Amino acid sequence: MTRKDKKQKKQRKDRKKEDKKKKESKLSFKRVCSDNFFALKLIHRSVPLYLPIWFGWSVLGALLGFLSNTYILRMAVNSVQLGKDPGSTLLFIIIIVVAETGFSFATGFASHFLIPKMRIKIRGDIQRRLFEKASTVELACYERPEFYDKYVRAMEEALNKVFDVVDTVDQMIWRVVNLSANSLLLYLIDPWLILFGLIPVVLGLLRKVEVSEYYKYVNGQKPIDRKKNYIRRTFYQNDYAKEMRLTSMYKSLFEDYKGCWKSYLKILRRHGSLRTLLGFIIECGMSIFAYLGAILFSIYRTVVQGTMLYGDCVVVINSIMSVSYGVGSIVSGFGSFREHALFIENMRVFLDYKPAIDENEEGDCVPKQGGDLTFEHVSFSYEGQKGRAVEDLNFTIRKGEKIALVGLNGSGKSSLVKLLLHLYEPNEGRILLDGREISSYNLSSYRGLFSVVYQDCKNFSATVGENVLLRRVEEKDKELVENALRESGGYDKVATFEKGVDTVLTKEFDKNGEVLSGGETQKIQLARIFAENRPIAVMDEPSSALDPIAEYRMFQNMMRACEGKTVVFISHRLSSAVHANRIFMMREGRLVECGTHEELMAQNGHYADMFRKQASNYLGKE
Amino acid sequence: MSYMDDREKAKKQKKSRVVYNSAYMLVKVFRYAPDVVIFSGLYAVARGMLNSVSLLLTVNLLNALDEGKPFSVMAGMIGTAALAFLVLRGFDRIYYLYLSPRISQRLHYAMHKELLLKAWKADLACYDDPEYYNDFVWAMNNADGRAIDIVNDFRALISTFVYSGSVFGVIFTVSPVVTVVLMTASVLQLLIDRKANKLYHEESEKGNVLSRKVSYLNRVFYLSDYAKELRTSRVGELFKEQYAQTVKEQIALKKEYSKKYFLLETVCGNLLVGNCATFGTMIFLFILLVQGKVEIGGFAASVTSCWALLWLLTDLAYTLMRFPLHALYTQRYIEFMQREPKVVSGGLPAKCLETLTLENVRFAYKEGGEEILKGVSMEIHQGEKVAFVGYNGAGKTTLIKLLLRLYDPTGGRILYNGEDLKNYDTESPRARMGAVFQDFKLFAATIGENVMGSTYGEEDKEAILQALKAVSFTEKLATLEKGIETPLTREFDDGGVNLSGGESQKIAIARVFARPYDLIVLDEPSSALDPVAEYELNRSILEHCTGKTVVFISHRLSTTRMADRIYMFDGGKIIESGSHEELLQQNGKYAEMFRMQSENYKKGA
Repeated sequence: MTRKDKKQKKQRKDRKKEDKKKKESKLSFKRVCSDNFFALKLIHRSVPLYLPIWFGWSVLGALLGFLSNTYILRMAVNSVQLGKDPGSTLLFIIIIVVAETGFSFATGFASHFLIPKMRIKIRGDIQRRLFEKASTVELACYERPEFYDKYVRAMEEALNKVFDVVDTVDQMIWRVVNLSANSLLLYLIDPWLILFGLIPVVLGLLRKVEVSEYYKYVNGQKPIDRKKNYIRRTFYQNDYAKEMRLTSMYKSLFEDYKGCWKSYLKILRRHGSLRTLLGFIIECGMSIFAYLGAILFSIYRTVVQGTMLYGDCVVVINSIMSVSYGVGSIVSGFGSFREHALFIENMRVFLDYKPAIDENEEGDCVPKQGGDLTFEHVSFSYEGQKGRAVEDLNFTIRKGEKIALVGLNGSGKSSLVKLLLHLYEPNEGRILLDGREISSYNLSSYRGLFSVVYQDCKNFSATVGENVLLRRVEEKDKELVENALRESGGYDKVATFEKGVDTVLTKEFDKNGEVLSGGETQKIQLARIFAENRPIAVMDEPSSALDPIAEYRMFQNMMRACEGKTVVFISHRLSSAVHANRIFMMREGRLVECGTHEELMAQNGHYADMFRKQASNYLGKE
Repeated sequence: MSYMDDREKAKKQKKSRVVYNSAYMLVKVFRYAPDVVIFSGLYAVARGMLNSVSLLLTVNLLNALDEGKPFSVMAGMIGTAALAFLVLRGFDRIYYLYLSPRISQRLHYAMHKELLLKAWKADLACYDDPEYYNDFVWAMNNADGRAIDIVNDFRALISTFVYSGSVFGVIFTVSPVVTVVLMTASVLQLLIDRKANKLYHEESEKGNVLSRKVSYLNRVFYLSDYAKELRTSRVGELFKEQYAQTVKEQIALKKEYSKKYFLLETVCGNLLVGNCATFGTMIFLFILLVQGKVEIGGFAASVTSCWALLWLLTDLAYTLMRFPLHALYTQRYIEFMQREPKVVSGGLPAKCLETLTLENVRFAYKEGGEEILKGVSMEIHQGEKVAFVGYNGAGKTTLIKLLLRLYDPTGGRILYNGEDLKNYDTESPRARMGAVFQDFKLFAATIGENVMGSTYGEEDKEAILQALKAVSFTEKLATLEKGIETPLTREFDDGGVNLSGGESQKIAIARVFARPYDLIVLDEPSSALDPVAEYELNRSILEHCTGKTVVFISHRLSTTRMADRIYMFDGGKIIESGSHEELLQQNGKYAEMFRMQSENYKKGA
């Protein structure tokens, strides 16, 4: 085993461990903080003014809010009770009113003129980094469901969470300022009042139990929801429509749906009852002991002992609740940080992810005209799958050769192509271009050698021209596009469009966009090979969606257009393999036969057998 | 179809329609699950009263203080409040934590029982009409959620009314002038919110294209569909450029609206109405207080509830503005539930199939749309093997769907044993026909269930195994620990198996062998199979179908040789028909197509 292999194996193991760890344990407190901090840093890097403006505002807003809501009232009531000069109180009120008004004005200004623009910019900057990353992580990541679900698909959600962090910090600032101001005021009025504010802290212990019951309830529902969604899909999705009508599967699915209700009730009963009881105790404790208790206490002080003023009483009535709930809301605020962290953690891992296939930007450029491609003892297996996809492949494809890859389903043809394109790294062995390992070249220059048509191809929601050239189309490119389409047989269709090659495909953004059939789509994709003048063409079943005549024409054109180019194509229809210079017959991941059609027929091995079976139907038994 | 389009439509509805539909849904919910409506109503009143209790307590306590009442009176007031809290808060929690989730789930299931059946009965044609299909998907996923939303909004309205009633009541006893001022301010605030809402819609409508663009780009970069191409071509650069452009356009759009929002919301809303009303009230009442014209309790309560009132109104405005949208969706729901399937039972039960006769059958997916079938006639007898060939889009698959009565023809007739297919019930002829489609789909169920197309008993096991043998799945089956009990897909079961395209197709084909069908329909059964598997499958189909009627479509003409009769389709018509040899002799389109496909095999052999 070479050093590289060991390194890779270790990497894989680590990755698995990492994934497992994450599933099992929650994020540490430290990690939660650093994740949230990471989100703030992302924002700060994009628009440095955003956070200072936002948070400065929160402090100011909270203070002013306290003054205008609570403090004024106390002053007004007390001044009347004590018979003070109303003029000075009025003056104070007016000062606060003016300040508050100025503040609202400025807030409005900021929130309509500055913040939205900044947000869009921040969003755009982060999104671009994510796009960048998404197009560089190795393809294997997309095949690891844990990785894919967690990091790739959840990205859009994670992006929203970045802003949620700011909102939560903002709320926290508001709450802390508000709580401190109110507590301070209560303390100044009567230190004993603080005790009432502490009741919720005691009740908070119960809250913890309640929250954990809540999570059990929510998690218990997840499998039920999954089941329900699946059943619903089978009832309304087009994919299932015919089978649902032609088989009796719908009956058992329908019964299953009803069964979900019972399972739900069970979950609710198990985890809902205790939660309700606790919720009841907590809420009543809060409103009766904390709120009414504090009021009773202050009335006692005012009426019986005479140590408190009316205005202070008003303050107690108004603020005791915000103090009691304040502590809880700050604690639960930390809960939201934890929640954000889960998403941001994913984003962070994703952004920090080091692709197993290095971009190798300092790597050498490939020879412009391509060269011989050599596989030396190449083996490869997909992660999480037993058995090897390809095993001990040894061959050289010389420059300009036309190679047909044939074999049964699952014999490793597509895997071979993906290894060739350096979408995966082989587990063992080496792949060489012109005698040098392909990983020593700059990755994008290496991939730039290939034009590729995939079996499961889709057109992009862009113009025909852009779909062919895969870049912006200038006026001078149009002829190139049209010629390429002629070669691939797609031009007839495109010519019927009003806007020709400028026609937008798919109806995603353009109501007048054209939706193409499978065969037409494939023709557009094939045109890429003709349009891009790259030395190597790779085609994975290029003709599967074409009807026989279109297939025939396409092959003729391809052979003509690819003169001098290296071509590797996979085909199920052996009739097309006849054209190839050499045929590689794959079987269970190995290259079992190799040679021209005549040679292989003469060998009378697997290929000959397969060919005869297919041909027998055409040639008849006569 | 987007959310924004819906908003547009919602705005255009008549007021009476809005009221009617919302009420309709409420009644509907009541019928499905009366407890949802009853408890929500109770909760609304409790919630409104809960807020009022604090307010009334403040007023009365402070007034009592001012009037120098004894401590015991005030303690009594607090005691009463405590009792009220115990009852109301208690109910609040029970409702919120237990009742509400339970009853909304109950509603969910009750509605879905009806919806699922409705969906199952819907014509296949519904799937082809994108507008109807959207409604369909919407109803399946959101109808119950919308019903709950409507109930909740009614609930919010009631509690707002209860609470604001007591607020205005208190303020009115303090100063009628202030009440008038605040009410005016409230109305103004509502108008401003409405206007702001309109602006907001206008903006998002304009931004709609942009956000769709962004979500498309997201898909391109994050979905595995495009992953390979992003890596091997430079298309990523193109899309990054487009993204930057989109961001620029978004900023420009924001800019266009900033000033309007600022003037409306900040200047008019916050400053002119909000601040003037609240601070004005405060100063005015303070002066009255100093003059001794109002009591302390009334003063304190009015000032504190001033702010609350404005928030309350903003909420109210938003709640009210949601109703047009509710009504629109209710309308969609009503229409969905009222739509009756067109393919209906004629009542006759189908007997064993002897002949299928097509008389000048015509069909268009859309009324008045382009005809896919333009007059097709043929006769299929029991035991015949019939092949449909032709180019993509020639109408082959469509014809098959008509034979299975997934659609009714728009012209001509299909006769089953001489009797119009429409006169039979829908299920019994279908039960006599087994079909595999090109775009077949397996269920997240066990292999056995997938083959039988239903749950199965011990007695069916042999048939399943035989069917799997017929499609040469036996080898793969031997590698599966649980055999035919193996669940497919990992949707619900981590031990589930994901089959390859070819293997899935074999399971799908096995379906037609598992039951004794009179007619077997195969639409490109071998497209995902490699040549050897295809060859074996064809042989196996032949073996298993002796004596059975088979209709199949194939692109690969090699397969069609085994047909008794071949129909060559072009442009929705049959242009040639006959046996393989006859057609070759005719030297028409079929012969041309066949030669083209076989040319290379001939050369190579």
